[in-house]
Amino acid sequence: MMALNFSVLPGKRGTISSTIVLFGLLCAAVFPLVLRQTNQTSLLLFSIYFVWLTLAQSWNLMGGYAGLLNLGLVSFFALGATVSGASMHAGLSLAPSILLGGLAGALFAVALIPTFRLRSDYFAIATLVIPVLMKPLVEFFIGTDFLVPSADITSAIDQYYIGLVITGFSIFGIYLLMRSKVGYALKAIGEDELASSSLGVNILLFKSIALVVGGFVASIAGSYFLEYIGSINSTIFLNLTYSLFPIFMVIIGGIGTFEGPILGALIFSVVNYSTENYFSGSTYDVLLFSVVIMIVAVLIPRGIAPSALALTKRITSRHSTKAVISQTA
Amino acid sequence: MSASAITVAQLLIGGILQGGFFALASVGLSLIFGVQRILNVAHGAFIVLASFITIQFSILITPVFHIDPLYSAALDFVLMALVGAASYFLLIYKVESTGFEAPLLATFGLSVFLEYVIANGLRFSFSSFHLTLIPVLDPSSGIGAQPQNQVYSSTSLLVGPILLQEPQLIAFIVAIAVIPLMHLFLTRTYYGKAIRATAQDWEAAEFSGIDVRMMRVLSFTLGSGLAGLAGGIFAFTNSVTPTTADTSLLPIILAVIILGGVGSMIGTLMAGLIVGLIMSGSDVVAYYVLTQFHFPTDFGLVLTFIIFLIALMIKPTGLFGHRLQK
Repeated sequence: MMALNFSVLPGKRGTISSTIVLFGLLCAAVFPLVLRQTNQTSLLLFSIYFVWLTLAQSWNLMGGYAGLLNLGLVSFFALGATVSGASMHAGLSLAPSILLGGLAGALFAVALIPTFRLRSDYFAIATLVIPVLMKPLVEFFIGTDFLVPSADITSAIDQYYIGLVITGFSIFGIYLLMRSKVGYALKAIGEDELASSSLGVNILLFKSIALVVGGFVASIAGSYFLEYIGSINSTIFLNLTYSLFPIFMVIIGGIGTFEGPILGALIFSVVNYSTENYFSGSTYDVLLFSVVIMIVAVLIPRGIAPSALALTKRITSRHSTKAVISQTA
Repeated sequence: MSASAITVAQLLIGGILQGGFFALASVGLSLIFGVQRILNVAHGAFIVLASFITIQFSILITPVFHIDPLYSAALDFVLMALVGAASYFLLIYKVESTGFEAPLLATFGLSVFLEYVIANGLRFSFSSFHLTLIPVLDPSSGIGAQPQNQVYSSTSLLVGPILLQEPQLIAFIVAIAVIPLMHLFLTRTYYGKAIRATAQDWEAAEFSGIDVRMMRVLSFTLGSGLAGLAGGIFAFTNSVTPTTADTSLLPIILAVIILGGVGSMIGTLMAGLIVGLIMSGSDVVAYYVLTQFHFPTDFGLVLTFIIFLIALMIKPTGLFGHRLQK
C-alpha cells in the first residue's frame, strides 16, 4: 500500500486527497503507540468507525459511481457476519473466516445481477425487500445465533489494526479500481447510461463488477463487525440502520466522490457519538438525529465535498463572476 | 368439504381480505411516488401515527361521547392530510427536485422523527417550566396497543363453513369502496386529470397551463390522507407498536405498488389482492408442504417475495403499469 507512487496517477485533486488520506491512515497506525495501553475505549470507538467507513466505501462504489441505488446494503453486511460466524464456529481461524464472509457477499452479489433489468428506482425498492427475504433463508441454512468462539476473540489493539488494514485496503482498492479502465467505464455509465452504451461500454459487465466488489467489501465489514461486537443473531437482517446510515454518510460527504465516504463517515460518527454521549440516559439524541438528517437533506443535498470544492473554486478564482456563471450553467 | 379443504379456503379468503387492506395502505404511496417521483419511506410512520390517533380516540373520546372508534378513521384522514401538507411545505418541497437520494434522506429523517414523537411525545422541560407540544401517543409500553371500547377485534361472522374476521372485513370493504372512488377522481375530474398529467410529464403539463406545484401539494396531501385512513383501520386488525410499519408493513407496501404499476389505482387494488392471496397461498404451501421437509413456517413471506421478484423480472414495469417516462 505504501509502495504506491500516487504522483503517476492522473488528476491533481485526487492526488492531493489521496495523499491526505494516506497520511491520515499512517497517523491512525501510530496512534495506539502514542496512546497509553489502558485507554481501550477510544480504540474500540475507532474500530466501529472503521466498520462504518468500510460500509460507506462499499455503498459509494455501488450507488455513487455505478448508479445502483442499493437500499439493502444490510443483506451483504449481515450475510458476511453470519457466514464468518458460522465458519469460525466450524473451526476456521479469524482471517480465513473474514475472507469467507466477504466471498459469500460477492457470490450473493452475482446472484443479484438479474435485478439490473429493473428501472433504477424499482431496483432500489427491490433491494429494500431482499433482506426480509434473506433472513429466513439464513436462519434455515446457516443458523440463528452467532458467537465469536473464545479462541478467536482478539485484544482491542489487534482489533484496531485488523480494522485499519481492512479500511486501508477498501479505500485504496476502490481508489485504484476507479483509476482503472473499469473506473472510467463506471464514471461514463454514471454520467449517462444511454450514451455510454451507444459508445460500446458493456453496461451489464461493469455494473456487475461494481456490485460484486461492493458486496465483497460490505460483507468484509460485516465479518469484522461480528468480531467487534462478539455475538449477533439473524434479526440483524431487519435492521435498516446498516442499509441507510452508510447512504447518509455518502450523501453528507458527497456522492460519487473519493472524499465523500471518508468525510461523511467521520462527521456522522462524531456527531452520532457526541449526541449519544451528551444525552446519555435520555432519548433526545434520536430526536436531534432526525432533525439533523432533515436539515442536511434540505441544505446540502449534494454533500459537503462538492459544495466545499465549489466554494474554494469561487474564492480562488480571480474572475469570480465567471466561476459563478460556469457553476450555475 | 373435508376439514383441510375448509381450512385452505379459510386461509385463502383471509388472504383476499388482508390483500384489500394492503391495497388501501399502498394506494397513497403509489399516488405520491407516481407524481413526485420520491420514495416516501415515512409512509409507514404516517400509517402508524394514524393508528395511534385512533387508539387514543378510543381511550379518550369513545367512553365520554359514545362515538364508535371506527369513525375516527375519517378524523385520521383529515389529520394525516394536514400532517402531509405540513411536511410537504416544510420539507419535501425543498428537496423534491434534487434527485432520488436527498428526498430519501429527508423522508427517513421524517420517519424517525414521527416514530420518536409517537413513542415519547414532544416535551421540553426547563427548571420550573414544562412545555408539552405533543403528548405521548403510545399507550402500549412496547408490547403493542389496540383500540379499547370496541367490539370488532374479537368478533367474526360465520358465512357457510367460513369464518370471517370482522376487522379484516371492514378493512376490505373500505378498500373496495375507496380505491374505485380514487380511480374515478383521477380519471373523471379536472384535478385528477391534472395530477395524472403532472405524473406523466410535468413540463408538458406546465406548458398547458396546469399549476404543477398545486398538483404536487394536492397529491402529497391526498396520499398522506389515504395513509391516515389505512392507519385508522390498521389499528383494528393488528396490535401496533411505533415501528410496526417499518418492519412488517413497508416491504409489503413497496411490493404492492411496484407490482401494481406506480400511479395506477386499480392496478394497486389488484396487486394488493394478489399479494394477499399469494401470501396466504404461500402460507398454505409452507404449512402443508415445506414443514414436511422441516422448513420453518415463515417461509410463506420468502415465497411471496420470490414470486414478487420473478414477476418483476418478467415485467419490469409492474403487472398493470404502463411504460413510464424516465
